[in-house]
Amino acid sequence: MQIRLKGPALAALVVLLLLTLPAAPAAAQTPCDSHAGRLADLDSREELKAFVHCAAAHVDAVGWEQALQDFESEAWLDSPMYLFAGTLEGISIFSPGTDANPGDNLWGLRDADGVAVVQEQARIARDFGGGYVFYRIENIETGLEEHKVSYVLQVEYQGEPAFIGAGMHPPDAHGTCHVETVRASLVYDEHDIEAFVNCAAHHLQQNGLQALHDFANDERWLSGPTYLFLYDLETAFAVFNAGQPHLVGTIRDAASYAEGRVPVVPEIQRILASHDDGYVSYTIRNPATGEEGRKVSYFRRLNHDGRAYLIAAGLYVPSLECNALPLARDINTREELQLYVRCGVELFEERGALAFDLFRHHPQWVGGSSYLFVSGSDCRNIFYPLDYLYDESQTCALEDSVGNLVNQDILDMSTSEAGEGWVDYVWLNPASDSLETKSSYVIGSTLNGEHVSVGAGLYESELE
Amino acid sequence: MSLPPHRHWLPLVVMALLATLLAAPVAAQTPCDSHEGRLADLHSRAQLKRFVHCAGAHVATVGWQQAAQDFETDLWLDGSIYLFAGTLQGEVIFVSGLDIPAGADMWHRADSDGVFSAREIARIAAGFGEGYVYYRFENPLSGQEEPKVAYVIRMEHGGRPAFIGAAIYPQDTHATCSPDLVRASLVYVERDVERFVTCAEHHLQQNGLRALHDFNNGPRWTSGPTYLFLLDMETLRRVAHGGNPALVGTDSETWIDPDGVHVAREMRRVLSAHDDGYVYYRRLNPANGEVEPKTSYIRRVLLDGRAYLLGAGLYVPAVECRQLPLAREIDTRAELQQYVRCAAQLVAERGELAFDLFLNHPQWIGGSAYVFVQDELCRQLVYPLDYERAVSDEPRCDLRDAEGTLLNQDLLDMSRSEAGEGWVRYLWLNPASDAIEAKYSYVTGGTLNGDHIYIGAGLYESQMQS
Repeated sequence: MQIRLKGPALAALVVLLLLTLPAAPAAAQTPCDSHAGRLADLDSREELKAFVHCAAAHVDAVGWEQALQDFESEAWLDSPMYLFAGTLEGISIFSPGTDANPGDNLWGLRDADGVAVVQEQARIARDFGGGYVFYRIENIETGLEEHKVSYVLQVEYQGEPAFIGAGMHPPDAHGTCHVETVRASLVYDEHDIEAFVNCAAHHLQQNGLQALHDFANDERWLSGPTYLFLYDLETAFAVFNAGQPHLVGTIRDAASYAEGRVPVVPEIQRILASHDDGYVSYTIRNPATGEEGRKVSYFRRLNHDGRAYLIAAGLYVPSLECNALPLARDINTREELQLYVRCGVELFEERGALAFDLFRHHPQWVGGSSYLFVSGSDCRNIFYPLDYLYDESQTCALEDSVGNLVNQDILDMSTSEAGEGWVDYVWLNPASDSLETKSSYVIGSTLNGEHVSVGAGLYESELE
Repeated sequence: MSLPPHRHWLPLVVMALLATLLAAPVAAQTPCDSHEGRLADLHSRAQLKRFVHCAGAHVATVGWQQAAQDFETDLWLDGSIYLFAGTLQGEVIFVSGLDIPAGADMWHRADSDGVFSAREIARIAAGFGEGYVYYRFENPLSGQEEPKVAYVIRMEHGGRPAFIGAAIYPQDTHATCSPDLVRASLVYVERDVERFVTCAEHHLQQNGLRALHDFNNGPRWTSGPTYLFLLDMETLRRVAHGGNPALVGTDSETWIDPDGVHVAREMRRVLSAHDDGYVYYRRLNPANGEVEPKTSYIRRVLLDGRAYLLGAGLYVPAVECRQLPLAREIDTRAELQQYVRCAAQLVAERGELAFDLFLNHPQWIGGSAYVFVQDELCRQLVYPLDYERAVSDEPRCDLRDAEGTLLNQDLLDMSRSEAGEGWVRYLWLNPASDAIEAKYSYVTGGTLNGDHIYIGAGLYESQMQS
């Protein structure tokens, strides 16, 4: 059936559309000033509480029916962060992102420690109006059972008292640090480095001096440019330094630094005289490249058996344009995609295969339908984050559904005189699960002396 | 001058008005999602960084001149949080709220540690684009030079490289905890109790076991419902207990609240994974014999390799007092009435210990809202305005306003009336506008040490929203 609109009908439609336009964003992007950036990065109890209060205010403003729809949208649901609600008798009202269905009776739900999770949520909402609940539950992002702190708030649902809440999994408390989420190869931004150094401090306090050996040898604590260093806070004596082992045993006082160099350790001593942690910015050799690089180190004060130390690790600062790169899932123009691939190559050339952990797991590098791939001169996958398509035996003869030699075209572009450029082909979009035209940007690079192609693409439907 | 009667001007005027209406909120209320609630409460590095980025974006949108004006308003300037900008040669572009003129040269100014902050800011902004800078600078709230952490980002100003920044003065690090800001009598909300327990942990780390004596005895660490407790994590034996020192040495493992919550075990469970947290329970208040809700903030503390649990309770106000707006936001009769009732409740529970909150906590004082407490002779027991404090000890039931109203007597009479509370109108100096205005005060009666008192607060007519 064909629909034709004429005259008044068309005008009415235009008016309707205009009415819809301003209304739609209001529902989709309720502005919670509880956090900035990704909802999934919300990481303090304070932000969590503000977020839950904001959600409750949204329910008040638009009603439960509309709110429940909105809470399934990205503005309110960003794995592993999701809202949940239940009656004070433990009947689930909603819990997007988990197995629980509305109407399920969760009253008897207990975690591995025997905590009656929903009973606790109901008790704290009912008797205290709101508060924090601590328990263990599956992190929907990692699939692991992890410790969680939730904030719940008493609200009304169909005239009865109920609760609404949301929670987060703290990655860097003394009992929650684990290698699956906090490790050297996953350190890329301030958030990462702080969790990494906090976990290292816990490791030292829990394992004593054996930790020094681990810091030097275990890849959990050492990966390319990411390494730990530990100094006696009073004397500036270098106890441990995985990136510059020749310094161990020396005193890093101001006189030990060359003219014009930032005296890093004295500077940290000065800051820790009044603060508990902080940042210092300086230029130093990057052990991953052997070249001088700008570095920002996060440090904190660590008391060990009554003596104070500083423990620290640093971030090598990417080029200015890569510093401003949007998150992978927010990339939707050709310019951004081009920059994304260039920055991916910058990181790859700094770290080699050590960059793959970031490409596979870090929101800066993978998200939405954006991901990087690396293939060799024989077109085989060296790095490809989509498990269902990973195939080491891929060859240059691979054809897409319309006969493009996809891999060969990518290789040709990366070995062309320009060394980079756009390649179009038809590919499965993991976000929509359908075949679409994809435009990939590809750059030639090297890994262990061999030519590789590094690229990433956007599907036509997503390009702005 | 009168407007020419040309009708075709009208649409233009309407359009101009509309344009102004639409444009005004953008300049006045740039929504920074950097923090929630009061800007003055912004306290984490992550919040600070977002706030400065937001200010930088505002400069990019409205230009330096407009932005510098906007940054003087309380959306951008609050408590010890203010924005500042300069060139990378150390020349001031603006410093909001402080008496430092544009054009001032900061290049040669060193703090008491010898840090040339302008040079350090220039180094970070030029070489790194943005970052944290640590130095000491005058805190406008205290007037003292204090350690601060600033976040700066590189900008351009008139074609020259420049920066914009803001800073926080941390109040609960091992070296910045001070009884001026962090003390038991000032604990009222989560943020307060967290700072209080964190400072107590520093006190313990720095002073060793003598801190236990201080926790059990010192007024800094104990005030009415706010006191510290320290439990051995493994045995749950009480090592210090400011609320009841006689409990030191007793076992808390069997402590069960009326709802069956094993309180100390629950604390240990939370701290078995988390570094800090909250527990919620009910307990019998010996003062009134009622079972009341209580929440405690707890931290895991390591002393010479052994784990302890350090905590303090947070008083849970009645439901209607939990949602009370901050003092400075109170602008309706209904809110004012609730504010006075909640203040009276706090006095009933804590007596004089409530006064520190009335004088110094943003929940109870701010804008032109403040609580006053007077006795039967109309003597001031709590009165936060400096210009009145000089006469605070004098009986003042004969005080008249400009119209001859015996305002203190009226307040006292209202507090002793059958209803025990009500509204009183009189003329009074508004500290916010520095002008005499009609003021409507709500007053309620109470007792302190067996004597009748009245507790009140007022709003000026010009501020009252219907």
